[in-house]
Amino acid sequence: MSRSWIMWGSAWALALSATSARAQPATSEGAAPDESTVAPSRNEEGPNPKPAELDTASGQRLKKQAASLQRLEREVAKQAAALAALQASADSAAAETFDSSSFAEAFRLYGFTDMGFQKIWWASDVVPAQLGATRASTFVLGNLNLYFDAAPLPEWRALTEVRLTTYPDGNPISLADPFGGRYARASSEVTDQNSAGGPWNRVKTGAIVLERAHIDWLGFNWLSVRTGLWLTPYGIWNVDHGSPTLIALMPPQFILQEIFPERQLGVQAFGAVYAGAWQFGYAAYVSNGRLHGQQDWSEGKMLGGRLQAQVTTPYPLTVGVSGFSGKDTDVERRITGFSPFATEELTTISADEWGLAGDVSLDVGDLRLRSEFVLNSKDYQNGKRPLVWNVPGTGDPDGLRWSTYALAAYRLPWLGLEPYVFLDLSAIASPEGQGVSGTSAGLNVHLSSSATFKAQYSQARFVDFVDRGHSHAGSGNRLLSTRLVLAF
Amino acid sequence: MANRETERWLVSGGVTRRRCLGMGASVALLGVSPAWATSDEILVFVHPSNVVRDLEASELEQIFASQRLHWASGRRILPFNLPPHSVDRERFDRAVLGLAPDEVARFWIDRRIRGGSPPPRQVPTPELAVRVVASVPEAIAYAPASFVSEDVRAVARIVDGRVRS
Repeated sequence: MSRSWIMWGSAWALALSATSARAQPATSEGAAPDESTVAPSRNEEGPNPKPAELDTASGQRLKKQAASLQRLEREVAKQAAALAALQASADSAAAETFDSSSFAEAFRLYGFTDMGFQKIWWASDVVPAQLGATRASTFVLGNLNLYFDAAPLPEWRALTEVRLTTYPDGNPISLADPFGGRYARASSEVTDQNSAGGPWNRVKTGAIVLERAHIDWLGFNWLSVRTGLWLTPYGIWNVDHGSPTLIALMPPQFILQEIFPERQLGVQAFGAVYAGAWQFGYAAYVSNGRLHGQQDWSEGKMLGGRLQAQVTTPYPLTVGVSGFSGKDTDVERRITGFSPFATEELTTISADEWGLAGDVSLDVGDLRLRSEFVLNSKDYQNGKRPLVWNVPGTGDPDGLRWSTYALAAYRLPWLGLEPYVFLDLSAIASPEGQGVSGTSAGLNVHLSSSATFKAQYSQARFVDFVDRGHSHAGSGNRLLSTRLVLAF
Repeated sequence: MANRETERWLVSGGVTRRRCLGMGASVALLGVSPAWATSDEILVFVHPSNVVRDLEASELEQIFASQRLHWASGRRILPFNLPPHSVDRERFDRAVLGLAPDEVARFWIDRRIRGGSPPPRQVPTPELAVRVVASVPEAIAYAPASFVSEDVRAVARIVDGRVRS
């Protein structure tokens, strides 16, 4: 702080000296004189004063000028001392050297939050409408995500992103049924024993969702290594990931259904090479695959990767392809003996799967275009497939599933308005149909670079691509969702 | 200790645009500007020991968008920006990143949310940008030509809103 003032003072002093240096010759060349020289000249042009009056007036003026001169001398001495101090300081600063460690940015904390209001109009008889979602309009706490970004050394970085939630409080656990079952919601309410108000105060605890936590070694442009829990590098949506960056509010079906794993625990190599204006990036990983619990339940690791080409002129364009192959496995343990104690492991889910995805992102002026296509194939062992939506009697079928969307947004020149349309179609079988189609229109209002108001109206329907007699094909829901988003 | 203090000062952002211009005027009066530079030019410069001779517009964009992180030698690139909303920063961002000031802020928010590398560090004045680059072999920065001394080596020029090697 003090040094910046010193430099400013130095610059001011230099500017002053330069001004006076320029001013002197200008005056001598006949430019308008200043006020102190104007006053005597008026006197010369007026009537001649008497000698006594002249003496008195001259004496007073001389006294004033002498006092003024003394004041100026003191001021000059003061300025000279200040200038000498500034010079010494500048010399010392100039002698100071920097190295790269001077600029290590060890830790940064940032994030985003969004909250809003929404209403879902359900077709009355579809299964999701009967499993606990409200039919009323409701305010919602969307996201509160915090990033802990540490870079203690130039080549090392640890990034952790957490989402703070009020879950699991209020999550439906069971429905009442004719056989005595009771409707229940999870409660995380506890007595606030530390409250100064005594034991009557109660609070609801919340949960932290670990969005990602990884360590990066940034060795070369063409090779960096990431280990930990990372967002799967595929497509646009999964990487854009947060409400400040995503254009639309409602995720496409392949995100909701997790056709590609959203995040994985493993190790990833990534990097880029450059050819003129083009940047060619890659990512290659090995991981536990889909996470059922904390650990991998089979030796079949998931292998995957991404190739991406990117250019910014004449228009920002990114084209990418991604893929993976692996096993989806889950187990349970059963006690088979007590003396000695023995258990056996039963495989409950076992599937070979692979996925392919393609994406394109293009900005033409204020027009933003995004599209993704995602394909997944699963081949289960008999009897080792999960339920669909946890509905008894169902089983996730073998075969191909795909999902795609197209989005176009245009930034208008007024008030930060950005309307968009969003079309979503997927072939993911469910008890209600062979797939889901979605049509949306939305509006983003960019209030500032870090604050956005978002609104989206969507209509989703279950569809049968060939008539399979699903009774709810054509049914679905309508959703109005709004969020105020703030990045910080 | 001295370095830490300097760093605090560097990132404090307490130096206003007016002060920067004042300092710019003072340095210009001292006659530091190279003879071939014009007053509207912004020069992008590196440490004299850097083997890079010139940089294309796309390379500058990749460096100042924190996408390209390493010099060809393998050393980590240390780019430095002037403060946001300073005239020279705005001219640089428009020419190199193709972004207006509010778009630049949005660009870095998007990068952050995606988990991308952090933006370049900031130096409060062009004069300091020159001094830092003159001292740090990995550094790259930019400043109006009138501020650039022989302690650094220019690798690109921005004239009339365009990058020229």
